[in-house]
Amino acid sequence: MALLLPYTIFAQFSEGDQGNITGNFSMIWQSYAEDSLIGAQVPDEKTGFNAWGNLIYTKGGFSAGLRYESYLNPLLGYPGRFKGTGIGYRFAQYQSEKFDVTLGNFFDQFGSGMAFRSYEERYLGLDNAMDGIRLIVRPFEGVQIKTIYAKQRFDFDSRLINGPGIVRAADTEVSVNQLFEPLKESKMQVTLGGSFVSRYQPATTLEKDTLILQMPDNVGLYSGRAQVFYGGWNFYGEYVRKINDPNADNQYIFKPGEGYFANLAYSRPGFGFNLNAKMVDNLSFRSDRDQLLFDAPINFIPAITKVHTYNLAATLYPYATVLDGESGFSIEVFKKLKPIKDLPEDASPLKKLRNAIVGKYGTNITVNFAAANNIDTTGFVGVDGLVTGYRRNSLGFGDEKFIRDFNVEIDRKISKDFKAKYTFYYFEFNTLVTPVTIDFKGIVYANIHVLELQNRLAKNHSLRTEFQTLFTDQDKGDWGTVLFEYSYSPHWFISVMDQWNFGNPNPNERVHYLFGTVGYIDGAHRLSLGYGKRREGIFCVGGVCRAVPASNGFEITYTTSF
Amino acid sequence: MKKVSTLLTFVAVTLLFGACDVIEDPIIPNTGLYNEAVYGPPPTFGPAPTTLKNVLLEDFTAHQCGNCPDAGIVASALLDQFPERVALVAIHAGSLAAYDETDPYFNTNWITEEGEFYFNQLDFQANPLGRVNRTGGVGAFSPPTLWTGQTTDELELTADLNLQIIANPVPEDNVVNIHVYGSFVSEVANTTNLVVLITESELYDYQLWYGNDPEVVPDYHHKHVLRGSVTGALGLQFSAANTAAGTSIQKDYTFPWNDTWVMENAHVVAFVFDNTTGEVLNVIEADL
Repeated sequence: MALLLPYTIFAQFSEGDQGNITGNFSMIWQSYAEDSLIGAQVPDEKTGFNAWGNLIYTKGGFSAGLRYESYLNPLLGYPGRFKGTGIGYRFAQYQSEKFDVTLGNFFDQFGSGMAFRSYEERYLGLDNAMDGIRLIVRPFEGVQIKTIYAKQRFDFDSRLINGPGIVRAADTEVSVNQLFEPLKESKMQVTLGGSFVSRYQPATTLEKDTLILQMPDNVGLYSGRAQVFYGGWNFYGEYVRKINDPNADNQYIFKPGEGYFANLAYSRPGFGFNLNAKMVDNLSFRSDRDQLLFDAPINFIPAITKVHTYNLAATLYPYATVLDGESGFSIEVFKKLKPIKDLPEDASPLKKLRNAIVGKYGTNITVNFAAANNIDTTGFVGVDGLVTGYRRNSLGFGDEKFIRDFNVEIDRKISKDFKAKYTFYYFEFNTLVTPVTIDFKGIVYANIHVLELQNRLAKNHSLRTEFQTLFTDQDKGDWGTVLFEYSYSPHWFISVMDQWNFGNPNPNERVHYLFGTVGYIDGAHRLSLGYGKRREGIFCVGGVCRAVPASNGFEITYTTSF
Repeated sequence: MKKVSTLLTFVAVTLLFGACDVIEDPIIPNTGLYNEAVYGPPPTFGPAPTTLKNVLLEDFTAHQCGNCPDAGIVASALLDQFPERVALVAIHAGSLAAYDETDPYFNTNWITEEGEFYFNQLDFQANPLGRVNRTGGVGAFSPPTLWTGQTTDELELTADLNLQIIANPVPEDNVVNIHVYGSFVSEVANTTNLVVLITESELYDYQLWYGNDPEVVPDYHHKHVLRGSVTGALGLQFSAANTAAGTSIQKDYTFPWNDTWVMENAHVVAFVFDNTTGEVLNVIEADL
C-alpha cells in the first residue's frame, strides 16, 4: 500500500484537484545521568529518543496515511522491546454514505469498549491497532453494522509486528428513533447495540499440576448495550459475556467472563450528577492469551475513579482497573452557586453573607466519590480450582478493599484577573492490588490538599501556581509539591516544579525532585527544554498504568501539526 | 418489516463468522504422566554440562521428493560433526509424502499429525526445506544450502535455558520414562512450551533420488524420522511469562510405546520454544 500511495497522489494531482495532506509530529529526547539518591538509571546509550509523525492524504471520501515511528533507543520506562525506526501504522480508507472500508491499520471501539477497543496511548506505550480489513455498512438510516477481520499490533522493531491471534468482530448499532418514522420526533432517543468478538489463536493442551487440559482455539465474547436520552437525562448500560478463555491474566482457568457497566447522568445549567456502577469478572480479553499488562488487549474496562491531574493525586496513588475482578461504583455531583443579582442594600445579612461567599462570578463545586472492591467469590480447591477457579456469588462487593476515592473541588473566579481552585482528596488505596510502591503493602490512607491560583499579571503575562500537600502515615510518608508556571503569551513559558518527600520516615530519603522547563510556542509548533529529577512511579492514562523509573537529566520535546 | 428482516439476516451472517469453542469438560485423559507409584521418584539433575545452545534441525522431506536425499546428506553431515548438539527431526509432509497402498514403491505412510502441523506452519510449503531452531519464527524456512551456516551460528550462542534429559525404556511394560530438566540462565519474558517428539532411525524403504542410479532407491536409509509425540505438536506449557534466571523446571512422563516403532532405534527429542516468537530456546536428544 505504501508503494501505491505516491502513484495515487500523483494521479489525483494530475486531475487538478490535489486533495489535502495533513499531519503532525512529536518527539521526546531525554538524557540520563546517574543519581544514586533517587535510583536513576543510565542506559548504555545515555539518552532516549521517541518520535512519531503522521501523514494523512485526503481527497473526497478517500484517505490514506502512515505513521513513522522512531525509538532510538526508547525512553526508559517505555516498552523496551520497541526499537528501531520505520513505519508502524499505515492505512487506506474509502467512505461513502452507506459504505466505509479500511485496509491496513485502524482504531475502533464498540460501545464503552468492554467488548472491543483498539486505541493508542502513545506516551504509555500502548498501541493495539488492528491490522486487516474493516467494513462499515449503513444499509438504511439509523443502522450501522461494523465488521472487522484483523490481526493486532503487538510490537515494533523498525516495522509493525502483529501478535499471533486473529480477531473477528461485528457490531450493530440501531437508532430506534431513526429506524421507525413515528418515533423520529420523540423526546426520548433510544439507541441499541450488540457486538460479537472472536479471537482465533492455535492451541493444543495445557499441563496444569496433574491435569492436561484442552485449550480453546476460538474464544468468543458478546455484548448488548442500550443508551436512552430524555431531556437532561442520559442512561447507558452494557452487559458483556465471554466464553472460556484460559489465559495468563486468569491463571489459565476456564471460567467464563462476565461484566456490566451502567451510567446514569442528569444535567441542567448549573447542576448535574453522574452515577456509575461496574462489575468485571475475569474479563481480560487479548489477541494473545499469554500476554499481560497492556500487551494486545482486545477490550477495555472503563475506570471507575475520576482521572486526576494534579501531580500528587495523579502520580503517587493512581488506581488501575483490575481486569480479573472488580466491583465498584462512583457518584459525582456538580453545582454552580450563583450570586443573587442586584441585591438591595437592605437585604438580609444571610443573603449578603451568601453573596460574599459565592463571589461576584459565582463558585463551582464538584463532589466525587468512587469505591471498588474485589468481587464476591468462593474459591474452589482441587481439580475444580485448577479448571474453574472460583464461583461468583453476587454482583456486589467482596471483602477486599481496592480503592476509596473522595474528592471535592471548589473553583472560583475572584476577579477578572484572578482565579482560585481548591481540591481536597481522601484516598484509601490498596497497594497490594495496584502495586505502585515496594515500600508498603496494604492500605494507604492519604489526605491531599491542592490550591491552584491563576493570576493575569499584565497584558500577555500570567502566572499559575500550585501548592499541594499529601499527608499519610504509610508508605513514604508526607509529600509536598510546588509549581510556578509563568507565561508570556503568545510565545514563551517557563515553569519550575518541586516535589518534596518531606515526611519520609528515612531522613536520607527526603528528596527534592526539582524540574524546570522553558518553552517556546509559535502557532502549531511547541518546543520545550527541561532539566531536573523525576521520581520513579506509575504513569496512568484512563485506568491503564505503566511503571516509570527515576531519572535525572535534560529533556527536549517538540510537537507540531499541519 | 422488510427492513427489519434484512437487518436481522445481515446481523446473523456477521455473527456466524466468529467462532466459539465452548469446552464443557477441558480435562483430557493424561496417559503420558509419569507413573511414580510404579517407577519410583523421578531422577534429580545436577548442573548442566554446557551453557551453549544446541540446534533443532527440522528437515521437511518426503519419499517422493527427488531432491530430498541431497538435503539428507547435509543433515547427516551436521549430525556427524556435532553428534551431541544437533537434534535432527526428518518430517515427512506435503504432497510428495503421499502414499498409496497399491503403489509398488511408495506405499509406506510416513506422515504424522505433528509433521503435517509443522509443515503447515511454514510460510511456503515445499520439499526439501528446513528450520534451524525456528529462527525468524515458525513460518521462516531455509533451503538445505543454508543449514550448515545457520547451524554453526546457532551453536556458538549462549543458551537462555539449559536442558538435560533422561529417557529410560521399560520394554517389559512397553513404556518409556522421560525426564526433562530445564534451568534458566537468563530471564525469559514470554511463556514457553516443551515439546517431546519420538524419532526413529534404521528404517529402510523406497525413496526417490534424482541423479542416483537407480532414481527409485529400494532400500534408502531413513534416519531420525518423526514418528509421534509425547506432548502434541505445540507441546505443553513449560514456563510462565517473566521466568527469572536461576529457575529450574522438571517434567516427567511415562509414555506408552507404539508397537509399530522399534524402541532401540528410536530417539527422544525434547525442545522448548518461545510462545511469542516461536523460536527454539534449546533442544536435547536422547537415544533409547
